[in-house]
Amino acid sequence: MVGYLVRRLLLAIPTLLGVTFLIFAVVRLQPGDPALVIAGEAATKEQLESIRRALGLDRPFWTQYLIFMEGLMRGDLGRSIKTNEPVAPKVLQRFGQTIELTLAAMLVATTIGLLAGVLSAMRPYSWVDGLSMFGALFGVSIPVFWQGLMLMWVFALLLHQWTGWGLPATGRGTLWHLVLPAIALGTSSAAILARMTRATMLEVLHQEYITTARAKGVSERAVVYKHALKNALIPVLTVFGLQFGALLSGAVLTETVFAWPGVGRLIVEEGILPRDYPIVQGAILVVAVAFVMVNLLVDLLYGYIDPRIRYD
Amino acid sequence: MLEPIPGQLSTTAWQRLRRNPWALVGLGIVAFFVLAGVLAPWIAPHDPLRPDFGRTLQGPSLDSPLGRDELGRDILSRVIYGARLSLWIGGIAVGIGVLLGVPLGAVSGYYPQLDLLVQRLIDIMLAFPGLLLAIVLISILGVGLINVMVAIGVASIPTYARLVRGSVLSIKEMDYIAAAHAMGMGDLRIIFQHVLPNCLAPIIVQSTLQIATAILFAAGLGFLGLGARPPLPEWGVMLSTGRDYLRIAPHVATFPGLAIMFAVLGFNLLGDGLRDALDPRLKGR
Repeated sequence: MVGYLVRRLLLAIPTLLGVTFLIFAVVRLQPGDPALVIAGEAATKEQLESIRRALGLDRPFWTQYLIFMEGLMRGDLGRSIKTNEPVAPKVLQRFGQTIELTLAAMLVATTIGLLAGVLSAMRPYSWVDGLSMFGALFGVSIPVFWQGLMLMWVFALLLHQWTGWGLPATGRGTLWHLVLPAIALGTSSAAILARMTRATMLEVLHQEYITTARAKGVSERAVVYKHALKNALIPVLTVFGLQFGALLSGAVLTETVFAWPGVGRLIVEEGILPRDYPIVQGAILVVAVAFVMVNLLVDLLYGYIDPRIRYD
Repeated sequence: MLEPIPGQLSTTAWQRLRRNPWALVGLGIVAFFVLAGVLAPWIAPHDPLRPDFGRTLQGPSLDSPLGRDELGRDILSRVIYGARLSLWIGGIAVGIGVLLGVPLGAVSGYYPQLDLLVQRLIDIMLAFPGLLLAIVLISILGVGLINVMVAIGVASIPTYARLVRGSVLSIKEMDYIAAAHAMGMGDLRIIFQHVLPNCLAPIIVQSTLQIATAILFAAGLGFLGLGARPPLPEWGVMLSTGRDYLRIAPHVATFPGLAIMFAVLGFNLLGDGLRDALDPRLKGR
């Protein structure tokens, strides 16, 4: 087990180094001069030069990269070009809020997805199964930003019109604010989990040890939940880990629809569109590192649950 | 295991596809969108770019079955032209992914020395979740339609590379490859003549599913303001403006979203059906 752990950790290191380098290079490749952004169009050549020197942009590429890495080790992600505030605290705070949304979406996805998948597997080709899988098909195809808008229209605007009370449409503050964005974001993951759970459960339910358990007189409930589900969950776990990435991706869109103050909106609205590269750099770095760590965690968990994997 | 004769494979695959009702539904939906896109200049009732300030935000009517947007433009015509645009984006993005990802995967699978390096590169690209990678690429390339195609295409390279690498690794060990080696066939010829044709099935399935993803990503980027620029009738851009009028004119946001959903549904159903038809052993995954 330890060998597996060490191997996976060692593999993650070059990936993380590569990620930091790629982000650094990508940001430097962006068109536009940050000095011009700070100083404005009317700046003189000397002013631009002095700003570039202050930002360290006059140094060679590799020196800039080393300065960047050294700052990274200290937890310093630079300063915003527009506001001159340190990037790290802002990115971490907004990232925390994205994680809040992502976890809520995962809760929605897991609850609905596993339930639908198990029910479908227990009654394959019945109307429950049909409805479930039909729903899953739509869930996978529906664009999250459109679903968010429609949910907002029905449960925030129309509901308010008809009853005087509606769910909050935008922003963050109470648990109610999480409901619509979490449902929108979690739907496609719920659909994928439902399909995956159904497929693996069906496979597991045909195994010999299940037939033996039934022959021994074990109740159907125990067969499903005690024996089948545990084994079916193994491949579902990998899908779960992959879904974290999809959820982070989808969070950008969901945050924009519901004006949720997360890191996705930060990257687009305060980073890319106004060309504030330290924000883009810091935010994408945090997201990518988190994603690599989660994948690593899922791999390790997978190795723990299924001992066959460790001897890979 | 005998190497399947290409003609034989496609006949039995088509027979299997025909027997799958959901796949046929998918095929029907895809055909509908392709026809709509191709025939757009003839079937669109109005000019998708022409504003009509006397009819802004008008609801569905006989003249405009899907209503009019904030500049009075006919939404049905814009949705039809949007299909054309989305199919272009999907096709070109997938083309880029295949042209760059497949050879990368083939070479990586075939030469173990290169494999280590390529795998690390792919790991790094895959460290950025889906849409975020496309967003990162857009931030370098700048916003706009062509850049969207390139960004989505490049973002799909790791998927193809991994897929083909996996196929190549298993095919490499087969007897007919060893036989080809023994006959003195060069590596490149073996890859193109024997290895890649047997990876064709997963590439076709992945490409169909990837078009669905490309359409979703393009709409997403358009929605965020990072994609096609107005006044282009791109579905995501239409949704983005529709958001501002949700309270007073929900039809502006409803119909482009439905179009995206059905297009994606169609390609997903077709992709699933192709997967079952081309390799029934994969069924249940």
